[in-house]
Amino acid sequence: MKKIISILVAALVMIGFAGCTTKFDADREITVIARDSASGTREAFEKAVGLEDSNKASMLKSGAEELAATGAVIEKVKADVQAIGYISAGLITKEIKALTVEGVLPTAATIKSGAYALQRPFVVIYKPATLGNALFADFEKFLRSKTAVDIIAEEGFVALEGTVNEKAYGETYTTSNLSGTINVEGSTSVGPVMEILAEEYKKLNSGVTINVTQNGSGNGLSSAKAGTSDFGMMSKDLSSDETTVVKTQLAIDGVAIIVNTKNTYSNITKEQIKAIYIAEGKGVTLITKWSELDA
Amino acid sequence: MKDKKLITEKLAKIIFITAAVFSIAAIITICIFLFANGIPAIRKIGIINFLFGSVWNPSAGKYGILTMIVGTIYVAAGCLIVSVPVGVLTAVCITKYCGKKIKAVLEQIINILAGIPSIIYGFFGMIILVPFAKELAYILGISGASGSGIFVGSIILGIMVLPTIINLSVTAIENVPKSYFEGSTALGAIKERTIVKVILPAAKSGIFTSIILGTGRAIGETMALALVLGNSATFPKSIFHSMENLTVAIVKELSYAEGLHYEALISIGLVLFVFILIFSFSLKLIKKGNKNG
Amino acid sequence: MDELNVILLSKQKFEKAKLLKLFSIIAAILVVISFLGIIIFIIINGIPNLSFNFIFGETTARAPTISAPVYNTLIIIFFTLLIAVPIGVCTAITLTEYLKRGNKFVGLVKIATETLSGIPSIIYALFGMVFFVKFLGWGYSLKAGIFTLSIMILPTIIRATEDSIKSVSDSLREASYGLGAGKLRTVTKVVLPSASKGIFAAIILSIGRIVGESAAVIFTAGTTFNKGALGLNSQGATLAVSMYVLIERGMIDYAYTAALVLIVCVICINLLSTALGKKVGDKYDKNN
Repeated sequence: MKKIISILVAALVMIGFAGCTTKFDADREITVIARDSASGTREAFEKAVGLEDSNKASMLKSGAEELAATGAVIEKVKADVQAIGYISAGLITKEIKALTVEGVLPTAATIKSGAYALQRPFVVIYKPATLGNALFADFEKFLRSKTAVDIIAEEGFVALEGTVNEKAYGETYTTSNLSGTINVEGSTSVGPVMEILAEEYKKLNSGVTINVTQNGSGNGLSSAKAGTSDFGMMSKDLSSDETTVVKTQLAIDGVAIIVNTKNTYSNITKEQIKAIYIAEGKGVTLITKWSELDA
Repeated sequence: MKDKKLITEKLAKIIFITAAVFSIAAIITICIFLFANGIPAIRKIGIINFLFGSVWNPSAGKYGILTMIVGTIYVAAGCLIVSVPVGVLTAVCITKYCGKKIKAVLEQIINILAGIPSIIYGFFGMIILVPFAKELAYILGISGASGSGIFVGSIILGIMVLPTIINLSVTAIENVPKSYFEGSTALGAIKERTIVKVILPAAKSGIFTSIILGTGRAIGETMALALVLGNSATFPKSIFHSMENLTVAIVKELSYAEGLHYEALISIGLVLFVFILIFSFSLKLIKKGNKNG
Repeated sequence: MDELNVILLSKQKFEKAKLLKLFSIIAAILVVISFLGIIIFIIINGIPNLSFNFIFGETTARAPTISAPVYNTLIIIFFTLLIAVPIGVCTAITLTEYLKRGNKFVGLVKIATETLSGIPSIIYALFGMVFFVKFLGWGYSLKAGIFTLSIMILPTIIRATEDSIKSVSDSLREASYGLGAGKLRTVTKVVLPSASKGIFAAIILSIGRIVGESAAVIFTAGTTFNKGALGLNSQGATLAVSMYVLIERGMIDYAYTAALVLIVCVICINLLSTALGKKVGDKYDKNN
């Protein structure tokens, strides 16, 4: 009996001990959190920071965690004091901390002015024929309307104005009371604001059902091309090689570098980000501990 | 009157047999679609490159799944290391040491454990076990560990597979004739010696079946592992480092993959399918062997 | 008895032998701890967000509710059983009542059923997506999920029904024939009702499996939280899938509550099946 109790106590102590050591330690390793290969955020991040090689393939270090969605990255960074990750600047929550990159904090203003360097567009993509359908054309118009622009700005992204790519933004939207189903698939960075936009659209057009599936920009592209979704959402620009689909830009967004709130560091340079995320043997001195950022 | 009865009887027979054909049709369809969609990709990639290539990087055109095959084996092995000792010992406890009341409670608990959806196990592993594993790795001096990996995967899978092992082992032990136990004790052996030397060997085949079934489950489990393996297609440096196995690889990329990438994922499914087929076939052979032996 | 054994063996051997008892008790305790750990983890974190609105209220982008997933889960359960149970029961009847045991056809069906039951859910997910969603052009839809799940639970129904039918004593059948009833009548009016308890237990088991399934449903029925307007052609997440979606979106608090609802359902289903007197664990293929 005694033996059993002592073993149990030892186990509980170990668990408790593990749970209690959550102080930030600059001499411990950085936990590198990345996104999976479907992510538009990842592509934008790797392009901006220089993690793509000459063939546009990723040079992410092996062993970095490749999570499938924005939410998962936030959760991981929240749970791990030593973690670093990257997410859409508009999705920063109070539970994590965004680092300034080369002294600039990612805000709507700094992204708009270009001062914050890590940025990318949010786009919806679709086959050109899609706009031939009255409901889809109306939805696309809605996404550029004043109602939508206000929502996008309110959610922390940079909304577009005036005329961009021959499309007008900020006009008043009047409902045409159409009905039907719209399928939207794609980026987990665009997803949250798209859900809110979809909800607003449904309020104005009660006969419409909109299905928003968030599974990565890559899927937004492939499903729009295959026709399995009516609109794809991507958090990176549409490549000029893609000829079967066209785009409507939704917003401009930044890629924020996030860390745990207990992390004592507040600034990082692009070079340092690269050195943290890059694989071995690429000619870059790796940074593996937080204390190396002081150098 | 008699004719009507005959017609109804004949009709009924046709309906019943058609129903029976359905399962054959289903399995044939599954085989056809897996092979038809999976083989082309393997051809394009080259079967050696596919099965033995250690780099999986679709954007760079690399489709080697060796890391995943190894990952599946590691995790399945780890699962057995966790679940077999605990499972068999618990079965011993249930059959030999527990009072009726405790036995009933334990059995209810095991039933519920069996019914908990795999995603909840994954959730539990992700939130509780991974941070714990990360700390453990640090204490053990392992560097660069993320916590996700074989360690957590094995524990989670182990718990999931426990009900199978326990229930089948309990049945196997209970099926050992009481005379074995009584005979052994009459010869002077204490209870524990009897259990180890007499009862367990007699229950061997049932316990072995449970292990095979548990392994089958471990090879095929997806959602629970998707949240705790770290999903990095590499050979892990330790049991606390991020890695990937066959099932999680499919789940991670299936929804957005296109072209060769998509076909390659189906090929992974095909590999898994063949793996499992070989497995159940061997189980049948062993069972047949046991019957004859 | 133990005192006698202590005298007969050396103290060392005795202590060593008693280790078995210690370890097996520890093992059982570990099982209980795992169980408690998981349940308490879900309950403590899930209760805060639990509300009538969360389960039945209308979902919004900022505050999702699981009303649509719950509804979709019920729909999927209903239609999956609608398809699988008749086919499964009829198959079992064919195997036991209409064909002789050594029949080659019976052997084929048995192999087919056994293979089906060994296939992991991710393969069903793949097949469901490749065949129902893409090849048949159904798109992500409840329909696709229903048919995929039907194939998945078919082996369970067949096997359980077969066992139940086999356990019906022949004297009942002979009495029925003796009274002049034909085969069909005997089967439907005598054998099936006697076997119904086992069949019902298998149905409960399958419901448990459907509720807990996620991979096969994500890739066939989709992941949306909206109640579709297209009936069975609309996409929809089930309860288990909704949990996955909430985790991925970072809405962990809601995920806990969804998990809580899920676990409560599973426990109820388990209690139901125990009440039917059938050990869940006996059907070892349930865990595949």
